[in-house]
Amino acid sequence: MSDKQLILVVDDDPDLVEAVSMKLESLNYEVAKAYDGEEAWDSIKAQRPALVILDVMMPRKDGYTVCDEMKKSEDYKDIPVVLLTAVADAVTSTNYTHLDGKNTLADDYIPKPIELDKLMEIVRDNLE
Amino acid sequence: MTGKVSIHGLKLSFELVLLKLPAGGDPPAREVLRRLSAARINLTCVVLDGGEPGVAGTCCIDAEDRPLVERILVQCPGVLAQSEAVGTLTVFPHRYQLDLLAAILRSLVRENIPLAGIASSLSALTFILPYKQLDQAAAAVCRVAQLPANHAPFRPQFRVKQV
Repeated sequence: MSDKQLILVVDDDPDLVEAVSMKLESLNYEVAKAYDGEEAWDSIKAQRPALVILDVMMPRKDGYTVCDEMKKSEDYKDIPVVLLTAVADAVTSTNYTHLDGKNTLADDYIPKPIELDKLMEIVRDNLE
Repeated sequence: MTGKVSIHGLKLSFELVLLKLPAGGDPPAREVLRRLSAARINLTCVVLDGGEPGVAGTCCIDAEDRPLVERILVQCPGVLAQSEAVGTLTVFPHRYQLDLLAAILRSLVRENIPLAGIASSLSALTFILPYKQLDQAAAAVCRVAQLPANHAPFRPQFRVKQV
């Protein structure tokens, strides 16, 4: 069994998932990928990652809901969650506003567009 | 080909407008794109062809931005906003599999679906197609590519815009 820590990266933007995954792998983490909230839950249950990097706006189940469910679950509440928060100043056609991660149960957050080095710092801090 | 190529997702866009940016235009394609982005127009997909007499491009914008874009294009003679709506079909991840690209192209051709452009990125392949044929194109792709169980092609549920 690998002794690398497993990080789950969840975003409906496949390029962002790939870019973050490549950076994590270069730092010797193992990476699992999911592209919506439902898939994220499947992966959390099947693989129990050491940390979850979770986008907010996603199809099927949004990141706020996944984070909330994790943090209210006895089995998964200890897994650190880093939210990728709203990408722009305004988002039309939804109930998403310019919320930030402080108003959630997430352990940390980083606004989009993300700085990869800053995200890696947050990952390291939350795994300690 | 016998088996389907495994993919993880298939995303369809909102209705888009296709802009054709000619090579050697005045202003050049790069400057047209700069003006559009300065006006906070989302450029959903940009395909550029380098060469002589300059860079030619294809660009997609949201259909709802057409009135604003047409006002900007008054100062950009030669740039054509196509009247027929287009959409994008994005397949991911491609995992650098050329056979996936070939299989999708064959399947689209079999359905007589015209292709206005193709773009690749770190993880995805994006096809620009007539909007009214997007669902037909998605079905064609699903004949050669295998989505995970309980997955179907999906459309975005929201637009992100700068204000």
